[in-house]
Amino acid sequence: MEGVATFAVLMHLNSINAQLTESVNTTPLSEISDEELVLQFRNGNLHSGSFLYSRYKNGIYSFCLRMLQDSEGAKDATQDTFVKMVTNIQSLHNGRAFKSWLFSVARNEVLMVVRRNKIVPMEQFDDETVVFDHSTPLKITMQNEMKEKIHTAMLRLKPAYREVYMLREIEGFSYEEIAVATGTTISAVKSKLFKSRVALNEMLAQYQ
Amino acid sequence: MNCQTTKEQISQLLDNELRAEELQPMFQHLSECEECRKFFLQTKDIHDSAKTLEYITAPKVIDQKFAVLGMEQQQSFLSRKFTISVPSAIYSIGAVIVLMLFIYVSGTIQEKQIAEQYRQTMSLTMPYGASSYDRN
Repeated sequence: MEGVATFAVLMHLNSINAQLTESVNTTPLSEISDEELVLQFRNGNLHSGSFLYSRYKNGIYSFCLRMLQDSEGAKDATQDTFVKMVTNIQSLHNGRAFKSWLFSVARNEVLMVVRRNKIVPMEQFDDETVVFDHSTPLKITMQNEMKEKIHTAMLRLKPAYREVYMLREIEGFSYEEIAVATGTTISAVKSKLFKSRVALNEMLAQYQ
Repeated sequence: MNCQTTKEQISQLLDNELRAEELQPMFQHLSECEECRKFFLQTKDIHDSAKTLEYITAPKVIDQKFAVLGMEQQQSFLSRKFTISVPSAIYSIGAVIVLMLFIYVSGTIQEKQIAEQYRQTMSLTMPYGASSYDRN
């Protein structure tokens, strides 16, 4: 009986390898869509899960680190995001929405780390009255480089604004995708992006 | 159109989310308002630079954790396949036995019927029976 089971497993693994080889042979890895990878992953192809992980690990880690500004917390949030990706992939029915779904998972994990480690006061995630923290000094880590200044200024934005701004400017999300990822409305996204830009203009005015 | 609305539209323009019919009034306002022109240029500069912000490379320890997770998933997949295949195998073997029994029984019945038919045909063509024919 064990032989039958082993045979069934081997047959399944062979079919996975065949599918994978076929898709890799016909399409370069970078061109396989998230939707296709999610479909294969849902059908038990663990390699597709690895591809998705490789594709998004730096993006998710950057998002978590820039939100938390704590490397240990960012590691935990990133790991937990991918644990959720693996365990909850069956609940994702629309593979095309994978990216915004994954970032919404990451956002929840960031909030979990905040609750657990009390890195940032929780109310700041919902606080929409103040766009950035005036009391924190603006530290320029690399001199005379606009990018570094923007990065530093972006970290001064309040989390509710920072997450929206990062998803738009770094990840290139549409307003709708940001709304899905952050659990808010499109008009709120528009408003937060506008206020973030006004705040960044204000912070960076002296360097322009 | 006031400055507040124009600035909001500039933000949407940079995101390619501004409707076509809103473009003309916005540019009209920009041509007349120095403050909004300044806002546009500054916001666009920051927007262009922000787009070039790189990802921060994830530490290797996360890869290791994911590899362990992958192995656990494979283990659970293997055990899942095993528990599923045992009853399936029992059902399959049972079905094969039933099928073989059916073929055997129906084959036996058919054999008897053919033998009977042969006997009847022989008795019609040889009214005195095969034994008297053999004697001649």
